Amino acid sequence: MNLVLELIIDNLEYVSPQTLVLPMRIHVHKHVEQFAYQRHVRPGSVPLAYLENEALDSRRNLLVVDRSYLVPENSRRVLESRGQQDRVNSTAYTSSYKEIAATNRTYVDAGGRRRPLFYRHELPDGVTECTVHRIKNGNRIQVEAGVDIDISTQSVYTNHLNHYDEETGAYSVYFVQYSLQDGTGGRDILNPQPVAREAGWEDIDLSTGEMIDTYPLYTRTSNNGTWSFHFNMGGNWYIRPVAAGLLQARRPSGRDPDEPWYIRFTNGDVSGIANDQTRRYWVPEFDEQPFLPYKPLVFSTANKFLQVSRKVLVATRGTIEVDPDAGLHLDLEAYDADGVLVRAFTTDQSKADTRYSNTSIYWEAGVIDSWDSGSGMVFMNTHILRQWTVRGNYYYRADDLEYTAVNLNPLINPRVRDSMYVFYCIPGTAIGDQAIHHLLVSHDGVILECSQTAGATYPSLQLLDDDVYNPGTVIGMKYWSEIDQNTFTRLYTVGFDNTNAYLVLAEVSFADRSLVENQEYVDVRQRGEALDPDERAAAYASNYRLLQSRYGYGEDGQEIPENGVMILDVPITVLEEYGGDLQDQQVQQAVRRHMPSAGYGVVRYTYPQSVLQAESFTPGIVDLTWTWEGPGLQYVLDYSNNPEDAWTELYDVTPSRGEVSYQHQDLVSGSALYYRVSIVENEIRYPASDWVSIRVR
Amino acid sequence: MGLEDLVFEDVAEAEVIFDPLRIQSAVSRTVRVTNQGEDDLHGLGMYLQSGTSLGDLDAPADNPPETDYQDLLTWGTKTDGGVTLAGGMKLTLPQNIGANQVSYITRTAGATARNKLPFKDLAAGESAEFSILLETPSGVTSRRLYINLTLE
Repeated sequence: MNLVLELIIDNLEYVSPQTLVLPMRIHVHKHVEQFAYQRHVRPGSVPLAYLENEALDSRRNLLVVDRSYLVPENSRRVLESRGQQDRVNSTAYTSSYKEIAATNRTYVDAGGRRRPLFYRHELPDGVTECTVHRIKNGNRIQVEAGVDIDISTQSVYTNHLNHYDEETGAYSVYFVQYSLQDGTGGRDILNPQPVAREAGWEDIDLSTGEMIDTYPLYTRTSNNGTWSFHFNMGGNWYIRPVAAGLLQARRPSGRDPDEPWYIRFTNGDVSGIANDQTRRYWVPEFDEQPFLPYKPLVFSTANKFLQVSRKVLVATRGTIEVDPDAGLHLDLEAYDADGVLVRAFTTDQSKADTRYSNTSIYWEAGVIDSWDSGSGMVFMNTHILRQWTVRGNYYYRADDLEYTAVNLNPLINPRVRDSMYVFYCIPGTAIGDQAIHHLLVSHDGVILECSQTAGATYPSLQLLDDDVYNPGTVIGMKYWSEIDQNTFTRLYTVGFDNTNAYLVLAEVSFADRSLVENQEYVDVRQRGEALDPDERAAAYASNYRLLQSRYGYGEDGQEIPENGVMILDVPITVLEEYGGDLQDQQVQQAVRRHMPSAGYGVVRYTYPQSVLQAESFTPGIVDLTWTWEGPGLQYVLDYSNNPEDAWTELYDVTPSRGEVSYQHQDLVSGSALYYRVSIVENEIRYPASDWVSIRVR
Repeated sequence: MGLEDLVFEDVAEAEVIFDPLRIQSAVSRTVRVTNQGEDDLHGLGMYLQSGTSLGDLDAPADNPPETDYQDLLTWGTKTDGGVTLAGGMKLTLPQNIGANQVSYITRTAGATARNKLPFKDLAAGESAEFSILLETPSGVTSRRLYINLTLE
């Protein structure tokens, strides 16, 4: 027994502890907490909430207002109403439009009328017969009308085009099914190319220096605002203008929130009367794009492909140029939901079975079956899973300029969210200058930014010119006003009294179509002050005291037997009297066999037990309830006047679920009764629960 | 267990001792121990152990418990060995036979359970008194120590 002593030496001189107040500056260092939105939970960060919103999409979230119709010759509606189809029997043709569709192939329709076919699908060599099928939303229909199959020229002439509506998912895809001379067959997606196209360097007969005349070609020259076309063969020609020759804005090819959204402008060349003068609107900077391998081909990487059906993909750009024989290959990479590469496809046979970078994925050749350059559709020989993201590297025939000076993705360029971008074209631009420029207009209509620096034929509109204030700047000017005459629109654009006649092509602003009600929110907070389950082993190893804390075994610590005592839980069903094969002594020996000699084992038999409660609120009645211990168990209720004497069975039940109850009635008030519950399972009656006593009211 | 039934009482205050008993140097303090158990206790002895109390917030120990324990043993050993004139803890303990035994706590007597100082047997319900004196060793400045005095 201990007696604690406080010994004080020389009490008279002992000075009790004094307090001294010291002035202190307290520096509180608090870790900077940062609330961030992340796609994955990084180690060390604490997840608070999971938010899921509809992803931004350039198709849906960019409002592009087309203003290019202000010059009538550049209006798409005028082209469609005025530019009807012409038929000429000549090798020369003149049009006010730069781009035309021309053909000398015709077919006779069901009404007996001769109609032109503007597109041609090239069949493989050796085709003996073929048919054209259309697959629309899963239904396969053989196409008879509007198709002319010419085996002699290995061609299918048609006006049909493959179509896919991204908004609704509706599609209409044509397939050409054919048989070859060797008896085999095949199926390709329809790849309609213009019957007649502009001649290029590859269409020159090197022996004669003349244009090849075995397939339709034409040359094009500009002539004071009109275009002259010369064909390489005579006969009847059917010609109609197409909108690709107009100068118009196109939506960005990038769709996702993590892609850049660069607006595109077609390589149009339009001449027309604007502000009382003939002016030419064209895009000289188109020729300065990085063409690869030659103009007008451009190589583009990591472009997203959308899924039309299980085997058909479509490029978001809309056009691709694939020609494996000419080295213009298409590579596709499929990624799973976690961004891990799962498959890689290519049209390049030399890459087949080679490793993709340092992964375990190998390039697969022969899986990309066929493609449609005009619509960007690709037909695969394998199923593309819905959860894959497919990206591809390919060449495309550029017919537009990607305006990379402005990224319209609001996540990358926050200015898009509350401002408007105005894109305009300066007429009569010299070669080497830039025709298309942009303005940044604030939400209250004031110009904040202008990209127009001085060119050969136009002045600078920026704030500074050689670091000196530019009095001709439009910065700070209103873009448009009903009242103010000094606005950009009145001073510079087509349709007003000025000599500049800039053509506004598009006004682009961000459309926030999100609704808070559509946001998915899940609270993922965890109870704090807890060890990360993945770090638990390392935490215990570095600080073993955590085991005996609430982070480990609990606040009471690990249950350990004192004096070497070990409690050994054994199911009672091992005993013979409860359906087993062993006697108690055998169990004792068995469980103690491998115990340390200094230990003392105590065998505790376990079995299902109910917790019994009794109440008596009504005279002569006792209400009993006991807990349900599992399905398929029978509960036997006994009672007695003396727990040392015999027990009488009162009630038995096999409930499906829930607390069990029984009411014992017609009892003598004031008497003391004892109750207990036994559980019977598979005809084995386990020992009874602890009995409860109650005095009847 | 019988030893758990030993109760210490401060004779001067006539109170059972629960908190550390304050003993000033050079002032002897008498303590009564009572065997309130049902068993007679034999072979009792008293010895010193490192204090289990560090004192309260207003009166903490000046040194760690082990330092206090060792210092007391050193002082008592030096005094008992004649090196110094005074210093250490002196106990006056009742015996079974004969007068009370007065002895310093030294490293060889009263420092551990093995060399505990003999104490008279206590029958069930019997009490005995002993006294504690702390001598100030020379050269030691004012100091507060906490120590455990064990009877078993």
